[in-house]
Amino acid sequence: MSSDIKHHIKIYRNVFIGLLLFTGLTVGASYINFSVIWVGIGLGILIAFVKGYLVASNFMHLNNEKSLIYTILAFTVLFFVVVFFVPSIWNTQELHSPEHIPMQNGEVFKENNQQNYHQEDGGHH
Amino acid sequence: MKIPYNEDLRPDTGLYNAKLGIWLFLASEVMLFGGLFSAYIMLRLSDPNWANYGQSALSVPLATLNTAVLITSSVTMVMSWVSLKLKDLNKYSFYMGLTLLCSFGFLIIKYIEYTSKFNHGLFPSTNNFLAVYFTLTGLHAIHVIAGILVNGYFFGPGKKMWNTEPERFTNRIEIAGLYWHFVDLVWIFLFPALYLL
Amino acid sequence: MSKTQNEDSFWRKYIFSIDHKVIGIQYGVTSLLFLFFGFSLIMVMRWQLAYPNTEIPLIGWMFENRMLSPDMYNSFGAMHGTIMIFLGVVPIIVGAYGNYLIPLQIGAPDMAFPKLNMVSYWCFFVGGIFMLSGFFLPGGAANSGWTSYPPLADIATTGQTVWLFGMVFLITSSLLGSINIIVTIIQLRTEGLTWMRLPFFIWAQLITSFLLVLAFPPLEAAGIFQLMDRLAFTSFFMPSGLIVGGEVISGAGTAYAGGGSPLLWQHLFWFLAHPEVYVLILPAFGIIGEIITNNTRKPLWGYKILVYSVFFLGFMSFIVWAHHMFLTGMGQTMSVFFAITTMIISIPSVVILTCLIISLWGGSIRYNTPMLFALSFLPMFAMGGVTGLPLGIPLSDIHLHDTYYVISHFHYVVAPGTIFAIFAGIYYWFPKITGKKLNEVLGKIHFIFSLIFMNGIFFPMLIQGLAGVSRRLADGGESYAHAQSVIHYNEFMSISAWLLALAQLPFIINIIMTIIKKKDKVVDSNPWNATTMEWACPSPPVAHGNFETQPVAYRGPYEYSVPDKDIDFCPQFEKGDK
Repeated sequence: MSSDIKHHIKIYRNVFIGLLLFTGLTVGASYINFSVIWVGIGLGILIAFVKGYLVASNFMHLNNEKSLIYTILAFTVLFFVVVFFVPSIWNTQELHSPEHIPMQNGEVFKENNQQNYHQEDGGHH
Repeated sequence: MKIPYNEDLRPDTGLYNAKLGIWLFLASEVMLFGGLFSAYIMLRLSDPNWANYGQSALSVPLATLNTAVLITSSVTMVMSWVSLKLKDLNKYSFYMGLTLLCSFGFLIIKYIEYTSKFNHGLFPSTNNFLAVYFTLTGLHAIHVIAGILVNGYFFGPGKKMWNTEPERFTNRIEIAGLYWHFVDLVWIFLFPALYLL
Repeated sequence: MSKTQNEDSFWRKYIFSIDHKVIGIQYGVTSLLFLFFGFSLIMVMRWQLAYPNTEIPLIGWMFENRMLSPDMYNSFGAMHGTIMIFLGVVPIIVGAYGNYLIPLQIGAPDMAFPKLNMVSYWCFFVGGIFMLSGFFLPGGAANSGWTSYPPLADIATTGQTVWLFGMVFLITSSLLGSINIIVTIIQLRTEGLTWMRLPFFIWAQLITSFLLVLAFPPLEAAGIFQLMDRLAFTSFFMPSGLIVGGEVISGAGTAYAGGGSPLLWQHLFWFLAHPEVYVLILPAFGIIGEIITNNTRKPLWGYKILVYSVFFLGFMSFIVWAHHMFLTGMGQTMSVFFAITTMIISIPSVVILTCLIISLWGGSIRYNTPMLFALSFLPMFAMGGVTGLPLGIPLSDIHLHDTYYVISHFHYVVAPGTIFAIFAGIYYWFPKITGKKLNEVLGKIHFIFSLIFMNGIFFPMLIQGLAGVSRRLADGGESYAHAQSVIHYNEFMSISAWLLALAQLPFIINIIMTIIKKKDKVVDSNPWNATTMEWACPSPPVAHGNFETQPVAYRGPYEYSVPDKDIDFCPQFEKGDK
């Protein structure tokens, strides 16, 4: 029992070092200007997931948990993904930002057809 | 009248009550931050002006330090639970004290960050990036404060339970630890999402 | 508990009790009071709808010009919805029924976390006070609908802010309560109570609590965003260039930076509010199931099918929410996806209803008051369900969205649906709680007139909705040409509503009379000859611990009319031969 715990203390120390290293890595990577923006974002998300996995599996003992907990968490993650993604892919034909946002950068509202409202604005806001 | 399975494990689930309870609570917290992150993504994707909103005003070095502080507090938290498993109350107090110190450190650095924003005229109402930044980190900070209250109680008056029911006390620290690790976990995602990406 | 019952102070025993039975009654009494208040609000609104611009009788002195102004009408409407759902129905079916019955039906001495249970109740109470305090603020209570859509809700009067604070407390109460219920059901089932021996009521409560745990937090997030918009002038939901009263109030040079999305609120709100409607109906299914099996003297038909259906229903409820948003200009892919999931989710509901109906086949039906309410639940819920289908198809929803058709649909499922289940449950379990049965004659009068007047209110609404009369109109459609042919129903519906209120008098009198009267010398702990475990303990149950001896489950929950037995029921908790 005691050696079991000592073994765990070693693991916690290693996880601690790993977390600090990955933190440094993710900060360093953020200074690199990737040619494709999504690579940088993907890398950051990946490192975050690795760090999260280290905390969840070791500190939160999820690597050795009961199946009921796993089941509950599996459904939670599924619904998390749903609430996370659906609002953003709402207008699936238009996964880009609208061309014109009104009232920015000193733009002034003009009455009576002098302001040109694009159809993109009408639907989303 | 005793509630069954408060300390001993129910045979078919292998859990004691509070363990199941805290995981359910954490599941609800996952959904809470799901809603918050979903808002961040939706607002960011629909605004071509996002890059001008001042992510550069955030201090990456300070936040990196804060990340290290919080990670440290997570390690000391799990070590305080290990100390109880090794029946060493003094070590427990040492590690729990360190956890509290780190937690306060996190809040102090947050305070420095916030006041520096305000002094530069940057408020939640200034633009949507700052709105997201202040709201999400603010909510996270509230969760840190709640953690401090719980851990502080177990560091102070709550420690008495060790004398009468050591196993139950150890379980309580395990539960408090699960909550605290979750607070760390959220920050692990918040930090890159707001400061780096 | 180191103190015995006699040592508990008044405060500990009745006010800050940690006993699930006391807490259940606290939830029940508080929410019934809120329910009647919410009903009163709509009764005032119905005066305005029946007799527009005439002075309100009796209570007119409370209002400016003795009439309901359009702003007040909106306020009453928003608060009616909020109060009925969050302060009335859900606290009763989950807080009262759940807390009182779950430990009894699974043979447990209390809930898993008794102190947390107490905190849940008081959070609910505080949340209710916050919400109602809006009526006393300048500008009145929240008036942006129970759905609180921005941008209107972002800039509405102070009542909206206390509504949001109230919601934070209510959501907290709900989360703590549902965690308690899930842990109790999973961990505290007594010996012999395997999963497939659980009463259907317990399955319904389990799934309901999972819905509450996972679906409420995004609304909490949205509520925090809206509070930030209102108090810190952020623009989470404020679009740029919003014009109010001829003035631009958001965008560069105004108080709001703009760039926000009102749609974001709708997503986060409906992500909860759709599972919320299944929270409203699932415990009702559970109650009705218990009462039907008991009064047909037959097991529930299709127990396994019922269990799988509630699981499937619970899962699907998370992926249908956007059918409340068909008119927001959503992309076709999304629209098709949500229409399909909405059609699919109607299947488990129908399966559950069908199993309950088939359960009647060949039964020796006893027509007591609980059974009358339970029987009428079936066609009434069917009406509600069927009227939901054209709302789930985008094409027909374009015509019906935000009309009285929608109001009729959801009231049919909740009013002669869930509320009838609540009444049925009160008549059924009253003898367990107090040791006395409610009067049958008064009960039957309560039943028949409630049924008639419920239909009197909500059926004509279908006609009005099909004609295109919009909801939330303070004049009831008076100023619209397309409403003229159906406007005359307003008076009929209002009179039905007031008569429905009168029909509750026998119920109230019944309860008071029965509480006052003395108990019989020997109190029957199982007056309905039922089989589930709550009938094993005395009536009322033992104060701390419920059961005199720890019950054990020897068989399934609905062993009625077992062949070769002398009596027509074999309780789950009695040893017997099998």
